Amino acid sequence: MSDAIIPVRDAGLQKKYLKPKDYVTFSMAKFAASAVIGLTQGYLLIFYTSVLGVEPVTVGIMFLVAKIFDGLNDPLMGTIVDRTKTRWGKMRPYLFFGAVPFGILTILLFLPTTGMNAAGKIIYMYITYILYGIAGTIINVPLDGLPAVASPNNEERTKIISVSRIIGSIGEQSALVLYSLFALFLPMKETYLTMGLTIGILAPVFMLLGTFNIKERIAPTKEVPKIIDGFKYLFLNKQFLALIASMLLSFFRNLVSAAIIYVVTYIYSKGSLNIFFALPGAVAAMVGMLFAPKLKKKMDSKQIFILSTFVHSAALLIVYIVGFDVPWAVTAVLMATAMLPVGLLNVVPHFMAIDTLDYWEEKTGKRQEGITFALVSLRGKVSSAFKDFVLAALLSYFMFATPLQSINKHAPAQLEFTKSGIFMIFTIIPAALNLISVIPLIFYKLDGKTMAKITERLSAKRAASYIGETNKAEGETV
Amino acid sequence: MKKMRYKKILAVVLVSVCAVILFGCTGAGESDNFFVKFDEVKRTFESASEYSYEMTIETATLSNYDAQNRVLPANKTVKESDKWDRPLLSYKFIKKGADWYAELVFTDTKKDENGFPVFSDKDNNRPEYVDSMTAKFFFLSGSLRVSVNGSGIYDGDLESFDAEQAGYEIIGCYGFYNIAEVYFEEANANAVFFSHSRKWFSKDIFVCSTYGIKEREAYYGNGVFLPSADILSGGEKYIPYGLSPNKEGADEDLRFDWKNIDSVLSETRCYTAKKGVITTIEFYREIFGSNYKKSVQIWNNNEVETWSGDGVFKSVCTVEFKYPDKNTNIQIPPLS
Repeated sequence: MSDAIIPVRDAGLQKKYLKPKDYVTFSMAKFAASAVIGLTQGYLLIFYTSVLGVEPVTVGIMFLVAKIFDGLNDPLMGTIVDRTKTRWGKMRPYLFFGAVPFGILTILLFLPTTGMNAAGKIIYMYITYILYGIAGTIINVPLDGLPAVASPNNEERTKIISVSRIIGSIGEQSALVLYSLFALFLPMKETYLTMGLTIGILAPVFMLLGTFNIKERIAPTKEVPKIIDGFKYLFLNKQFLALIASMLLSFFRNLVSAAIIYVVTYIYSKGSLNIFFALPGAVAAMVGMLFAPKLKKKMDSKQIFILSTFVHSAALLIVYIVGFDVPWAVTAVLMATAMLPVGLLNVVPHFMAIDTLDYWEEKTGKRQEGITFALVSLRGKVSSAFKDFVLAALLSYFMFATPLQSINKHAPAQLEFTKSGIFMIFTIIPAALNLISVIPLIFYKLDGKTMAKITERLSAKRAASYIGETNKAEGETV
Repeated sequence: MKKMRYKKILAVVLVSVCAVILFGCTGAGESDNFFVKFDEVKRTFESASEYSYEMTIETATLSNYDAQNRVLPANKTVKESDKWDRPLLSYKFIKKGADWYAELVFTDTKKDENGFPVFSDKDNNRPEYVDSMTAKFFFLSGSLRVSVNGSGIYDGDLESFDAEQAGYEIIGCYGFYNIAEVYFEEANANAVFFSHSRKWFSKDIFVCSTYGIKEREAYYGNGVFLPSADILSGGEKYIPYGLSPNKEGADEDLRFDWKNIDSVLSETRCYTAKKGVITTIEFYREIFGSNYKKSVQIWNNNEVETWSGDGVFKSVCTVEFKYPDKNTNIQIPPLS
């Protein structure tokens, strides 16, 4: 079997190109990349505030600036990859050369720079985080694109994407497991440093294994959309605009998972409880996702989204009313229950995005998947940036106390107002503000009835188009 | 035309990002009303004639820290595990006009022959306790009556009562007066590290943190002028950190010259008030003891001393106030 690039016209061949070790090693690469994301998204804010003693609002601003910059880099990286021509392919060179720097930067993020003055720490924070973001883009854009070119066999491509995504989502929780383990034996500073070292050293190894093994066998045919074209499309397709606005405003519900580490550390005074809050919540969300197909038979996507938003907010309100002067297990169980609708909220917008594609195709004859999902991905990064900024700003407002660097293991007492504030960030604040995400959907008209009509008209158009093309192929003009 | 529109949108986004950065950097929007609020609440407290409060105090003292030689238990010649002494104390106070009532419940830890706390586990996490002592003070019509564990020990005027002479040193330590008055003493401006205030619906929350340094007496023994030590904690004298030559930097960069000091005292007071009336006080006190550890440098075999500061005392005190209203009646309990 040749590993040369196979022309696209031969795509869809039934021949098997991927071996089991391709699935395993590529999934390991996805696991590693997701582990790094899980580590930085889950623990970097608390590391900067509770170990390095940087003021939360300063960290929040850094995240906002860096993540928006990072989000804008993705399409640029897509263009660079698209124009790359090497004998190893378009994507693999970036993974080969980017893996080790990515690992080193991950370690540098968690280096306890306690000897630096405040200005030095902030400069170090900006430099390392922005470089980490760039390295992450260099790694993740090609890594996400690799399965699509690994095999001409459609089935194999779908399988490797599915398997690697599942393994990747497990990888994202690996930081949680490491934290729960290390926090039992090590103080805070050493826990985060050890996590950074473990993931920073192992991740490049797994990434290199994955990319060394897998080959690029077909040339990608889809043009990478330019971000400016994406914004033009966004303002033309008002249904997609309403959906993106709603998805953007739904970042408030992510405050819940971001606040867990603060809740267990400062309210229940045991960082190792993190796993008992985060893992059940993640599992509950996955369980909630399973209800999506059944609910889709009874309601349309918009109804499911609105109902899930209200149910999630109501459940968070109950957690708030019960309060935190109860055993931690009670809060953990209630919170896991509150996370059930989140599974639906994670998957339904994807269905709605596809509906906007159908709507636009029916209206204009054009189908813009590339732009749609590029913008959905950008929205994800911008939402993450806003989430971190709002969390940091709220911690500052609630007077979160940061440690003095000149005192060993300084853990300043958090005021009752601060602890109440942390619990509010975990419950009532996302409960109230997440409801805002429903407002843009007032302008989203693609309900069940409308989509049924659009689907019918689209099917007729596609059928007519297919007949025309078939007859053309046979030499007849229709 | 469309290009102009997108350029405008980009410009708005960039300006917004810059505005956010500037906002964060200058701290705009965070005004400090601490001293204004403090004065208001103090006036209201001092003029109130009826109220009650309950106070819980949790303290932890690293009893086997060698303060004289400045060595932590783990760095002693014969290494020791930390022995944290954690007695329990609660205090209740009721004021009704000129009369008042105070109740102090103190539970000390059991001590071994060396005066260290006794623990029921090998990790020294669970101290053993002796029986509690309950002291009650009735100040009625200008006369004080004191009982301890139900037995009267004093009946006379307020000024003549000597707790230590009566055999109850702990009463002398924590006082039998209105302890909450201590938390309305003005903070020394040179000791204030930060002060913030926030409004949360009908509540005002304002907090002030101070630092004091206990200088090495020997350092000043060579005729160097010792600044005024007007912060007292447990009988020890602390200089407002702003006046000490053994510190450098400010805010997050505050650092201490641990070799030349004995300890650092940190006190944080948080007041919560509603409509100018105090409802809760939280008081956090920590002492960080200077200490050193010897280690050998691998590359030249030289022994070096590394100086640093570690927590050797911690206390958390919460005071919750009640005032007479339709649901609450302030009454002094009957004599017992």
